[in-house]
Amino acid sequence: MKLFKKPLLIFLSGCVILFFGSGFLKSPYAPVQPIEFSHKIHAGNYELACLYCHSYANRSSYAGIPSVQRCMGCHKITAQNKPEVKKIHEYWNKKEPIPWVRVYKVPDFAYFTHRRHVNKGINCTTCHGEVEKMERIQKVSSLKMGWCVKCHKENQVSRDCITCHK
Amino acid sequence: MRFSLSRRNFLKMLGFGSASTALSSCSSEPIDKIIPYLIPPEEAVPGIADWYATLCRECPSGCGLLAKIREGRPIKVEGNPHHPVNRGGLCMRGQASLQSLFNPDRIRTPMIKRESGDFQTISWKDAEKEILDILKTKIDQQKTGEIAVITPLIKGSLERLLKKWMDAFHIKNHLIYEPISYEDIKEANRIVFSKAEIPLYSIEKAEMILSFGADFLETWISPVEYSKAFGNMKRVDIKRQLIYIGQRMSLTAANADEWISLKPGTEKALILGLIHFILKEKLHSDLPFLELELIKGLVKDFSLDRVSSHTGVSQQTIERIGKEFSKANPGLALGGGIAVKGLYATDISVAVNLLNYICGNIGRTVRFGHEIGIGRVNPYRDMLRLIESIEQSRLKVLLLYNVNLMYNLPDSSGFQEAIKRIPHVISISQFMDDTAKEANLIIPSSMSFEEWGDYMPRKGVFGLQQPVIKPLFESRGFGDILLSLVRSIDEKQKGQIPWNNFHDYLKNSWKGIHKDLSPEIGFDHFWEGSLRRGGVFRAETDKEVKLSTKVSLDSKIDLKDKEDEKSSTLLLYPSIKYFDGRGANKPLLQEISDPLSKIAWDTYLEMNPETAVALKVVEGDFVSVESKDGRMELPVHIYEGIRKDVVAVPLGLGHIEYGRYAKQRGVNPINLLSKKTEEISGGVIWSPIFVKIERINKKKSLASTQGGRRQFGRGIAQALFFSIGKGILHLKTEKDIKKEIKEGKKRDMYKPHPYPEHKWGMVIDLNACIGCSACVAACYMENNIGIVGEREVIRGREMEWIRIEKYVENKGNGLDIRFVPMLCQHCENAPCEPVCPVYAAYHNPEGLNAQIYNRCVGTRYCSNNCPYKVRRFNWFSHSWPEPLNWQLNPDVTVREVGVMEKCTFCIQRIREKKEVAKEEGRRLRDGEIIPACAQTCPTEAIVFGDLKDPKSRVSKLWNSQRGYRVLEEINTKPSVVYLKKIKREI
Amino acid sequence: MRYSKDITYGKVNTDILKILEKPGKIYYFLLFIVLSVLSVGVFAWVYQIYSGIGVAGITHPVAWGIYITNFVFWVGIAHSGTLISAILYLFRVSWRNSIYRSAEAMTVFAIMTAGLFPIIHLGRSWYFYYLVPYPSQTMLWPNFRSPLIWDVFAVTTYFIISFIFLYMGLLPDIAAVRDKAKGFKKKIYSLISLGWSGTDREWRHHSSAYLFLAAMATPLVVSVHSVVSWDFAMSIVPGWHSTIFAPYFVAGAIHSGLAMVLTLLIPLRKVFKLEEYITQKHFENLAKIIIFTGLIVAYSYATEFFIAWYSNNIYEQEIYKYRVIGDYALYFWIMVIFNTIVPLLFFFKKMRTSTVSLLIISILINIGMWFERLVIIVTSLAHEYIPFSWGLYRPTWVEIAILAGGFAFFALLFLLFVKVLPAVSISEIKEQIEPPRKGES
Repeated sequence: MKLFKKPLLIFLSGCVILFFGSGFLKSPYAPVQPIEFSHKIHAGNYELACLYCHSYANRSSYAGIPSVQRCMGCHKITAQNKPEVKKIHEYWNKKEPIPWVRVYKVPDFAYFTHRRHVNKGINCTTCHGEVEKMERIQKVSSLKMGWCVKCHKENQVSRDCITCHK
Repeated sequence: MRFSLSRRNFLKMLGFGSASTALSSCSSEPIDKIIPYLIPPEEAVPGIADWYATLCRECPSGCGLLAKIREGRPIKVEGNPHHPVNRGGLCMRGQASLQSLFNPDRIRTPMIKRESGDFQTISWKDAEKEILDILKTKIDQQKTGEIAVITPLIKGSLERLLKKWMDAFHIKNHLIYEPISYEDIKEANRIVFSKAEIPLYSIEKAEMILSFGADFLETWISPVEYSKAFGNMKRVDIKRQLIYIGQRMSLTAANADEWISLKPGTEKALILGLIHFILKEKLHSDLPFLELELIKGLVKDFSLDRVSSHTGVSQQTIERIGKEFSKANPGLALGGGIAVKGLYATDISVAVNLLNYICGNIGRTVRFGHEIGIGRVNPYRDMLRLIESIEQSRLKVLLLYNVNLMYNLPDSSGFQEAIKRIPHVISISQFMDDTAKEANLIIPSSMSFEEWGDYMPRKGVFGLQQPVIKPLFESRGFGDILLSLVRSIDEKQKGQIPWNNFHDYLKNSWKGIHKDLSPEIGFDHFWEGSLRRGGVFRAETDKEVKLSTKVSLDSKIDLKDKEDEKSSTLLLYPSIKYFDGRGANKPLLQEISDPLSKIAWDTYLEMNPETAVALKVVEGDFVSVESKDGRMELPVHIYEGIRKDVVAVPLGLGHIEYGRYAKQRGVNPINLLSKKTEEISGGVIWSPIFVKIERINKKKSLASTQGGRRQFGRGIAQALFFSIGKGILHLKTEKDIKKEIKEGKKRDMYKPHPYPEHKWGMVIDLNACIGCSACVAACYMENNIGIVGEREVIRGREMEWIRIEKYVENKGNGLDIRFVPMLCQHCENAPCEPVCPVYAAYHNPEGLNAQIYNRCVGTRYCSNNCPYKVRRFNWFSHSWPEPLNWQLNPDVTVREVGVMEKCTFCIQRIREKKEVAKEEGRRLRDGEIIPACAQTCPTEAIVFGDLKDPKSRVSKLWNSQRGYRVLEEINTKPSVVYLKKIKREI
Repeated sequence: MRYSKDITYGKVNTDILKILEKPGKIYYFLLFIVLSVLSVGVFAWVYQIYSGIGVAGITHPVAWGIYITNFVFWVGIAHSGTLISAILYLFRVSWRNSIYRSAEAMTVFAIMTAGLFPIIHLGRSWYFYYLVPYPSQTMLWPNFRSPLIWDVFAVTTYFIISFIFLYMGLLPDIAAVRDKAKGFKKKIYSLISLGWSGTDREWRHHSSAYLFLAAMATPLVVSVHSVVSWDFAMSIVPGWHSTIFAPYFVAGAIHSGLAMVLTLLIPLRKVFKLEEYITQKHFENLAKIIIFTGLIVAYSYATEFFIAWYSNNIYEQEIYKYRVIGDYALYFWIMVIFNTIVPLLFFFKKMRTSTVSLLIISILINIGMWFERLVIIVTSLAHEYIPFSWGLYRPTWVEIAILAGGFAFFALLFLLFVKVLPAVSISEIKEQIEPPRKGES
């Protein structure tokens, strides 16, 4: 029987490490976007307010992705010779929306509204991280139910299931 | 799911948003100028619904709609509360209208027929060239007489434009065709009051209604309007009665206090008998001597005994009705329409007019001078003339717009052959229907949701129809098609018709309306206001009418009504689901079971049980039905509500072509009709048709949603009875109610739920509920409920969250049919909750039985334990073939296979309104939250609200004297209270 | 009871271990059939998961059908195993020794089969683990008020206990096998025999532990099927909601279980020529108990009807009327006749003693008991409170295939068992015979 113990022990502990380790080893989700848009420049250096582009966040369940028109609002003039900005012009001339890659997605069976959260004065960074420091946007929070519930618990807000599932 | 669309589509949507805003900066597309209803115009916010007023064009009634727009797509339509026709209500066909917009079988591009017979896609340019070539050649040859245009009932600007357009091309023949028309009523009014129009009936004013086959709660003239009126009439005084006279118990009859069945084809005799009796007994309102004599002369043969022996209605009954009706102040006699459109259709309507006249109802409940639109329709006779001229090849070009003649005209009319002999059939159509299939050239026309328009259901009601979405496919509005055709012919015409799109034309023609109605305000203001309101509505004053001296009708009593004894009489009736057949391509309408037969997805022959026994057939056996003009085989449905010597078949199915849902489904009974028309009005002879019925060796199981037909004393659909003189019997007293509440408390072992904020509850007034199933349709559309198809319905797997249960009772007034809308009762002691092993079903703090789909593992224990059987299980995942899925409500999860689902009291609406209230920092107002079913109900039978708020309507009704809960004895304590039906005891 | 004189320790070893020798044609033939049936069942299940639970006949309002029937049936089968091995052991009923092993094995396998069906039955089988209490990030636990959760506990407990019980009993015999076995086999057996060497000390501990387990298993016999019956009794469905259900189900369970023991032992005895160890006497005793349980079952049926009539509850009355003359009357009469009338034949000695009649009757009882479950579940649901939503249930090929698959699964386990482990207890038979004197083998 002794023979068995050692390798077994090693094996088990290995499993444990892998299981819990995997969480840390994984790097946050940060897909390549059709245009290398830098929040660092816009939100960081120029200190644009989030709501300037994501203008629905305080009005609707969606925060909203700015329309090409919104981009062109500034970039008609500013930095028009930059390669990335040129891309916007291409889309604009083709009258096509920019196919951004979605980073934050709440599952279909869960209902989340930006409006209530933003108007309650919860800072965008609480969920989306320090966007103003990110060159490429990356997913900082899991958006898993446990994550939601934890916050709802701390803030003493509704944990009735149909608040989010309906 | 939160977006019914995939990520990709969502981006598309945003793209659509941005693209359109982008476009708005340069070009002026009408679609970007639409004005949100009651909301200042602004760019749409994704996730926030905008409401736009438009019109329902599923039938000629012309109800007003509000379309709910999310991310640029209409996802739900509701009745427009400002529109005088439907005043917020909507029927099931109206609810399903979005399925015709998003129908997967719409014609997407212009198509031309090749020699081989199949269609080839062509560009709009070529298509227009095709048409112009044909028209031009005819013009050049001076043979424009060979061109005919057939449209459904179009009124207002479009009609005027069509006139202009036809002048431009020197076209003379224009036929307005509606399969279900009322020329008999119109004609009768000409004869009796020398006013050839269909009057306005004010039902809510009537103290007693006599309906001679007028099925005004189902399809007759303007069902939603009349249902609403009927509901109000009942609410004013629950003892007001409706008596229905006819061979078949229609939906109207089922809601009547009494159904009097009389021999087929003897309605006229009965009415004249009534008049005779009333005059004899001097019960009539005072009339000038001459008129009196005139009428007396007409009815002299119709003494009680003869009439009663002829019609098979007992003398006492006739006397009783005569007395009560003449006493009613005012009463209202209704007649005409398919059920009585036989050889003597006009005479019957004449008789009805006389009855109303002598009882002084004319001008009070029967009001002239409103010119109901449907009166404009050409009679069947004109169609036959047209067919004749085709056969004599005097007609070479047929321009059809949204009329399905191949389906709606009987084979005996000869149209089916004739159309093949026309060199050019141009069909401007939305669907590849039976008729479009025969055309040489098909032009896709837009749905009402995609084009500008207006519609005047009657004088003074100018409904405005604005597009709520860009055309999904390469379709164009009829108006735009006409304009662009004109534009491409010579200059002279262009001078007369200068507009480049129908929107401009419409605006221009509304300038006229603006001048007449409210010149004091500026036009733009007027226009915007009209868009918000959904039109402009003016109360028209009635026109006085007096009895014409030339009143006449065929007053022989010995009408031979049967050719030989063996044959039985066939009645056709327009189905509440498919109307004249145009509903057949909408899966929702196919799926919902008919209120009376409870059968979905099929045509059937209604037969009296005794007849069935005689024929040795049972439910689902096939019989062959043979008239002089046609023969067809269809399954039998046993129905107590029909005479022994009569059988009935609903219209609407049996299309050869008309999309995947309608194609080759059921049979089309119209082909049993004869070519003969009624002499006076020239209308179709719908009934009686004499048919031979033989049993054939074939059977199928009909897709019935009904299990047991009776209640077995379980008190599910309860009713109280009243008799004239005495009041309502066994009405609860205040004391009883108090006692009930006390005992209710005693019965409980546990202490009641706290309900800190709200406690949602619902009250359903069975006295108002007519079983029309509009609520069912609304629920399907609002909650993304799956459609399972015929096979699964047969297995009992339909998904309806709210169903209309129908029970047959034999006490009280002979046959007594009761309807109960059954939905999740949101019990306080809900049996479904404790048995769920994973808390997917639980009781929420506002008194709802919540169901969490993503937690459900599908043990189905809750469904077993639900005494009301309102929980529905997803046996498969459902699919909405593109683009039907565009209609899905983004606020409601689309359930996957293996989860239980049920009524949520429209939780998404509750949440939305609560959010709004929070944002505005106020409490919820009563009536702010309205579930889809309550919203659409034409009779306002359903009231929803907060029971914690003592002032809310629902709290007031909660402890009503008529109130009861279903299966009260098992103490589930439902949050739905039903108010007992009130019926007249005979 | 005593075995014939010429049975000695040595003979017992050789005779019983002979079962474990290389199987013959019949065995392989059986194995083939079982495997093929099983594969059909598995295919059906895969098909069901792939295209949705809807391929089964269960529908609205009859949302439970053959799957739950099977679950209840197999849990029932499990019972008599423990009854024989534990309860009869406590009562020192000597004749159990030669049959309890296979009965006990049957118990374990029956539970394993039963356990499959709730999972097969789920609309979303892939989420079955929601039923298991485990700490999850959603901070949700199962609903301990739900009888289905009680099932999960009852059945798992029962499985664990009876498995250990079986294993304990096996230990000395495995050792015996080990001593005979060679090569690789020897390694395996020595591993699972946990180095049993048969010293006094070991025997002392073994028997005390065995007694302890028997004592533990006994209440389970009653508890498990009571809990299963509460799935129904705790609901408000007329025809389910009844206080008699627990005893009624337990009795039924033992009834069917004993029948199953017969159905298994008779062929086993024939094939492996164990006439000397499993004698007519055993069968006769079993038959006698079956008469008894049969009578209890009959009594329960009668009571149900009496209560329905006496309660004067229209819903109850409707259901029982419906069972007798309604759409499923055939099933009802099968159940009544097979479960209550047929067993009475055992009153005749001929019937008790002839292997053929024993086999036939026992099989009939199994069929009858299966239908009892079906009738209880289906008829009640088909004819509930709201007449409008009454409906019928017609099984589809998928359900039938999975039903067959279930039996095949059980049979497979049993077939394998008899070949790898002694199906008759060597050590306990030895307790019943003369210990060998010096010089004898």
